[in-house]
Parts: sequence; C-alpha cells; structure tokens
Amino acid sequence: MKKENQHKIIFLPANRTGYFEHGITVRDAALELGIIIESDCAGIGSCAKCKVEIKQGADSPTIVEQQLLTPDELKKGVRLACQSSVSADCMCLVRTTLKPEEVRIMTEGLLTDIDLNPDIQKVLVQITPAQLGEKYFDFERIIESLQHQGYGISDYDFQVTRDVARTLRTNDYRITAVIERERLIAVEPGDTTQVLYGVVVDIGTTTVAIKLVNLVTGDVAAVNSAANPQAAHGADVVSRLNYIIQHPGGLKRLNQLIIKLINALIRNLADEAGIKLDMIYKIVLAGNTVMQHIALNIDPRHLAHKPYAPAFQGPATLAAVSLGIKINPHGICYAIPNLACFVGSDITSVLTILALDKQDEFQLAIDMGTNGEMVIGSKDRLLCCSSPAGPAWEGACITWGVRAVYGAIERAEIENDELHFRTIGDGDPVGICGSGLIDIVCEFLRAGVIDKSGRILNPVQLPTDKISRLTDFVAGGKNGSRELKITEIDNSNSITVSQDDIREIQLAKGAIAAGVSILIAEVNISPDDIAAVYIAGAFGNHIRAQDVLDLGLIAKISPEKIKFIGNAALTGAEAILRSGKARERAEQIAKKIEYIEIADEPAFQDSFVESLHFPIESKRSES
Amino acid sequence: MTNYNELQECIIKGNRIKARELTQECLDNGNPAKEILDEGLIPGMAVVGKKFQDGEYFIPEMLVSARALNIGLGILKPLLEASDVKPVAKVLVGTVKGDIHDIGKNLVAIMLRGSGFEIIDAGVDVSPEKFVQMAKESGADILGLSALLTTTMTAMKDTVDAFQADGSRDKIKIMIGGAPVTTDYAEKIGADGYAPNAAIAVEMAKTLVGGSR
Ligand code: B12
Ligand code: FES
Repeated sequence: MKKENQHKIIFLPANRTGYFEHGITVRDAALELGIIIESDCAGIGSCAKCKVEIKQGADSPTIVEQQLLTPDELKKGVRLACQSSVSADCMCLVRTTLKPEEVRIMTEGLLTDIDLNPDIQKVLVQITPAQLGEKYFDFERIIESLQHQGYGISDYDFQVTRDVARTLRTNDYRITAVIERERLIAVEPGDTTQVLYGVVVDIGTTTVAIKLVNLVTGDVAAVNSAANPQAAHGADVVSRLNYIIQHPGGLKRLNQLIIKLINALIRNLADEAGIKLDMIYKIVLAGNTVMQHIALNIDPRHLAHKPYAPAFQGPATLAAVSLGIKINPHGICYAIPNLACFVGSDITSVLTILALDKQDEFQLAIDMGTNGEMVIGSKDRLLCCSSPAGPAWEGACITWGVRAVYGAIERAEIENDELHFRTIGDGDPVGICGSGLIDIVCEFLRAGVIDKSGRILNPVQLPTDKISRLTDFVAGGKNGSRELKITEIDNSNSITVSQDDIREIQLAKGAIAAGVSILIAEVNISPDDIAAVYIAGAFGNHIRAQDVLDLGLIAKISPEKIKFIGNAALTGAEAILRSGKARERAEQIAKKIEYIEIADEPAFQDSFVESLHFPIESKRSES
Repeated sequence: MTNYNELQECIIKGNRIKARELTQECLDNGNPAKEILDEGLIPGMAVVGKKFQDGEYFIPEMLVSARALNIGLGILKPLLEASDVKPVAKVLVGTVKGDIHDIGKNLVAIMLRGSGFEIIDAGVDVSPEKFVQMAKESGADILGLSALLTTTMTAMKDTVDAFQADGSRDKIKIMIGGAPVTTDYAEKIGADGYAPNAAIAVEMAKTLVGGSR
C-alpha cells in the first residue's frame, strides 16, 4: 500500500508495481522489484547503458542525462535509470533488460577421464532390530554397519541422531545414509540410493552458469545461465568492491542478489529435470576470487587496494543452508580454492580438467574474461597471472555490444566482398556479442579495410583499384572518426562498429597478449615451444584459431595448436563434483601454482603498447 | 621565411632521425628557436592531437610522434631558456594515490608539452601531500590528476582537499581525467575542469590559464 511521501512506479513490460520513497533512483527501485537494468558504470553516470523510457511523472533530466542522451531521446522520454529519481507516480518502460533465459554462454568444454566417484555418496544400511539386553544404540549401529561396508565415518551431523530412531523403525530398519567424505550428513527412509543429484555453479562477474548433474548415472540433467544481477552495481570486480566499500550493507546486498539468483536457477533446473530440491545434496561453487568471497559472505574489500589481499583461499566445505542456498537442508556446499587475488577458482576448475601440469612441454590456458586470466605450465612448473582486459569480450563498453543473447551477431564472414553474419537463435539482430565482434574486426582487418594500427581506412584515400564494395561499409561516425556499418535495424538506426570500439578491442587484446608474453618470458621459452593453447571464455560462439593469431593474442604459432574450450570453468567444476580425485587434484593445483603480479612487471607496459597493433599483413593497408 | 611543413610532417609521422636533422638544419639556417617551436613542432603536434581525437591515431602512434617531438624539443630547450622564452604555463601531472595506470596521463603530458607547456611529471601512486609539495616547489600553474580505477577516484578529492587545507588551492588550477572520471565528478569534488582525452586536455589547460593571464 502506498504510504505518505511514497510514489507508485509501474515497470513495463514486466508489469511489476512498487511503492517507493521520494527520491530513490529508478534503477534502485527496479532492482528492488527484481528487474535488472543494464549498467557498465555502476550508476556513476558515464556509460549510458541504463536507458529507460519514463512515460509519466518524470522529473526534469539532470546535467549528466543532457550530456549523454540525444535531444531526440530526451524528447521521447528516454532517461538514465541511475540518474533519474522518482518524484511522482510514474510508469517506466525497460527495453534493455536481458531476460536471464535469453543469455546464452558456451557450456561445453573438456572433460577427460573423470570417473564418477563423488565425495557425496548414498549407502544402503540394513540392520537387525536391537534385542532386549543388547548394548547397542541405534545410531552407533548404523555407523558400525557403514564401517563394515568400508565407509569410515569420523564425523556426523548431530541432527541425524534426532531422526534416526523413528526412521529406522518405520522402515524395517532399512535406511539410506548420505555421506560426504567421512561425514554422515543425513539418513533417508528406505532405499533411495538411486536418487542423488548435485549442482555446479560458475559465478562470473557478468554471467552465472549452472548445471544439474545426476550423480547416480553421471548424466547432465539440465543446464542454464543468467546475467549476474550484481551487474547493476558495476560491470567489473573493482566496481563491485567499490560498491561494498562505499555502501554500508553493500556486501550483504550483493550476497543476497547472487544467492537469490542461484536459488532461482536451481529451482528452474529441478523443475526442468522433474526432480525435488531435496534430492540435491551438493553444490559446488566456482568463480573469480571476488565473486566467491561475496557468495560466501566474506568481506572482499581488501582486494580493492594494494597489495590486493584476499581474505581466504579455500577450499571450504560448509552447510548449504548456512549460505541460504535452497537444496536439501542437510546439503553441502563446496567452494573450490582460489589461486590468487585476481585468479579465481574458475581457473582452478579449468586446470583440473586440462593436463598442463603433467606434460613435458609447456602448454598455455587463457580465460578471456573481464579479467584475462592465464596459466602456463608443464610438469615442472605451473605459473599464472591476470591481466585487466576490460569487459569488451562480453559486449560491455562497445557501442552495439551485447552479451551472448538472442539476436546477438555471433559470427561474421566476408566472402567475395560481401559480409555475411549469423545471429544467436537466428533472431533479428539486436547487437554484437564477443565472438561476432572479434569476427568482424578480424575479417575487415584481413580485407584491408582496417589497417594494422587498428584504423578504419578512409575509402577516398585508397587507390582506385583497391576500392572494393567493402569500403561501402565505412561511414562517418562520431566527431570526425569513422565507423563500420554492419546492418540496418530500421530506417534511422544501424548496428555499427565504431573506431572507438576497435580501440577498446585493442586495449583488451593488448592486455591479454602482454600477460601471455610475460608468462612466456618468465618460463624462458619461445612461443614456438608451446605445445597447445587452450582458450576459454563466454563470447557467444567459439573464436577461430586464425582470429586468435590475427588479433595477436599470442605470437605466431601454428593454428592447429589452438583449441577453444568454451566455458571450461563450469565443466571443471562439474568434474570436481563428480569425482573426489578431481577435487583432490584441484586442491593440489591451488597449493603448487605460482603467481606473478603483472602490475609489478616493468616489462608489462612496453609489451602492452607493442601488442596494441594487429600483427597482420593485410591485403591493402601497406599501399 | 622557412617552410616548416617538412618538420611538421616528421612529428606527425614520428620520424626521429629526420626530426633531429631538420631541427638542427633550421637552427643552422639562423631561424630562431622560438619560431621553430611555434611553427614546426607545435603545429605538427596539433595535427597528431587531431588525428588522435578523430581515431586515426592510437597510443602507439602517439608515442612514436612524442619521441620525435622530444628530440626536437631537446635541441631547442637550451636555446629557448637562454633567450628567456617562457612556456605557456607549467603543468604538474601525476596519477593519484593507489593508482599506477599512467599511459593516459603520459599522453596528456605529451600533448601539453607539444603545445608549449612545461611539464613536471610526478609519476604514479602520488599522495595528496606529495602533490601539494611538488606544486609549491615547481610553481606549477596547473595540476593534472589522472585516475583509472573507480576505487582511486576518491584520491582525487583527497588531493583537492589537501590543497584546500594547505591554503594553496587558489594558486593552482586543477584538472582531472581518466576513464571513470566525469565532468560531474570534477564539479562535485571542486576541481576546475575535466577532459575526456588528451587533445581536449590541451584546450582545457589553455582555458584554465587564459583566465588568469
Ligand atoms: C593497461 C592497464 C593496466 C596496466 C597499467 C600499465 C600502465 N603503466 O599504465 C596494469 C597491468 C599495471 C594494470 C593494473 C591494474 N588494473 Co588496469 N587496465 C589497463 C587497461 C587495459 C588500459 C588502460 C589504458 O592505458 N588505457 C588507455 C589510455 C590512453 O586511456 P586513459 O587512461 O583513459 O586516458 C585517456 C583519458 O582518460 C584522458 N586522461 C587520462 N588521464 C588524464 C588526466 C587528465 C588531467 C586529463 C585532463 C585527462 C586524462 O586522456 C587519455 C588520453 O586520451 C584498462 C582496460 C581498458 N580497456 O581500458 C584496465 C583497467 C583500467 N584496469 C583495471 C583494473 C581492475 C586493474 C587492477 C586493479 C587489476 C589487476 N588485475 O591487477 C590493477 C590495479 C593497479 C593499480 N593499483 O593501479 C580496470 C578498472 C576497473 C574499475 N572499475 O576501476 C580496467 C578498466 C579493466 C577492467 N575493466 O577490469 N592495468
Ligand atoms: S549511466 Fe546509468 S548505469 Fe551507467
């Protein structure tokens, strides 16, 4: 009900209504109602991604809005949700919200010889009724029976002792014990050994991916993903940390956002697979170090400043209920150990299913996220670093950039001077996701429309015999710069790639390339010596080996050595759920890996600047 | 009247060797250092700035041009000092405390230097106290602060406040920049100006000193 000094806001198209104090920003109000409005700048007012249309009762636009919005937009009632505040009853149209189910990420990766032998197990226990005068107690007899079957129990959840007498007697002394390693966590009536599920979650800064696994058959029961709702408080981990530092209760708020999302996702998966939440006894969490701190409700603020000290490495095993995660109330949460301040348990997961640390020759793994994280390794040495690429790969900070959602251009190719592209789900194009952007840039590079310095060439400056139909794509853009017109979406709007967008890509790829070259130099080899390069990331589609080379992420190596492994973090976490051995492996890797802080590397800056160019001899640029 | 097109072109293209040769040649022909600066180096750098702003040039191209510029300036500097030619103004630049990103700040410094300003570079991770001290020692007219992290933007405010506390705020103009910084933020913390890129930073600096001169 509306109280005094409150205003009513209706959000469309979700059709959710709420009553808010005078002066709350539209963005905060939306979030209260579970509506996520895009944001790259954490509401500072610099990204202009949070556009909404306010239909009635809007206050007058702020200076920031007047700067960031066109007169046309202002006339139409377009506002920035983070800037406009609620000062009367109003109606607000949110067009840019990405519905979680529309977000697609690569959920395939590598999984090599992971046996199905999880830490969580169910064991059937059948005991004979105690006879009068016998010394045995119910609970201790269960433990003894388990011991007989080869399951040493060194610990138990005390709650089990409260349920046990009745459960035994109502089920002919036949029960199923649920064991997590040497800990007895629950008993279920009768034989339920054929029903046991676990979930794995990869909490990315931008995207959260989740998988439900049947731990009896080993089958994947369902997969899903959603945008991380914390994104409303900043696109990258530093902005999130800043939010926590600047807002009392900020940690709790971010924690609740992610826990609520995880619970919603688990529910969806369970419904899809037709199972009950009670059947899920285990959740395994992977994510970057900051995301994991927040999910576990550990204050991460000291990661924001030098020397970037995480509060905790992990691993951690704790009761899922203690985090508010809704699976079986006795269920267990396992948080995979982190590797360093900006190298998280997502990379631990990736390393678990790769074999970098087992080969004679060096191999390289790169996770191209907002923070590029990379590892080089052989059986002698395992070394990681992180490089701050920025969120360009996931579409942020790019004019028409979007995450891998329905309608995103995910693939592009130039053939006979014509540009062909494909969108996700074959939908009408709404923007460009990472893989599409990389394709477009590399194709125009190879065609010579973009030169190796990253400049979009001016068609009139090209010799006439060099002008191809492709130069028709080049148009005049913002303040004297040029842009590539990719496709029209209506009479007045075209999806474009601007010169600035290409510069963003150059900064991002330069950061990754510089990180890679520091690793290579540190182990004292030449790029040629690298036996394999694994590339992970959530770009939408895979990126081509040739694009990896033409971007210059790594110096010349043969393209056959480059393998794309998609969202390998989720696959790795799945391995850790499936197999106690894989979990042990993850923990060993976390112990032995070395870390280089590139901010301390004098070589970084030179290498970064050198890597800003594209190492490509394009067809026309030299003329 | 010497034609400075060729020297300008060396700066634009970043041709170090020729920049050295031509600057020397101009001097040998008896052209005053001030003229070579004003009609050769500075206009060349202005084109570089324009190209950067238009997206034609990016960081590496800027750095290459900067090297050619510095060679020319290096030759002229003793002569300019000897003939008592004053720079447009003195600018103290630096990246704020807790932040070590300096590429953007360096580009700003390059463009200012190439527009006739004298630059004193305080480096990175510079505390507010250090800025106050260096401003005093150098007699800088303008302070240019850079921050690239959302978490270190607050150090800009601390720096402005430190000048206030020291009582020397009205002796210096403060302009700020860096990716997360906005005009609004500049206003909020009481800085005198903000520029989104190195080319506009030059305009800003000129306006800031224009007022006081
Ligand atoms: C290179 C880089 C680094 C290098 C810096 C090397 C160096 N010597 O500068 C290294 C590796 C050291 C580094 C470290 C870190 N980085 Co960093 N880094 C970048 C990167 C890739 C490019 C920045 C850059 O040089 N841009 C190019 C220059 C030319 O642009 P610019 O600085 O904006 O400058 C222009 C204007 O802003 C303006 N301007 C700049 N200064 C000034 C000053 C004045 C007075 C005026 C008027 C104008 C002005 O003019 C310039 C030219 O036109 C960005 C990502 C990106 N895509 O931008 C991340 C980025 C800035 N880094 C980031 C992070 C998180 C970090 C680390 C915390 C992470 C880590 N993994 O360790 C550390 C922090 C270190 C520290 N204490 O400062 C984040 C910041 C996120 C945030 N919300 O704050 C970014 C955005 C990447 C990301 N999204 O994750 N980084
Ligand atoms: S401008 Fe509103 S969130 Fe960035």
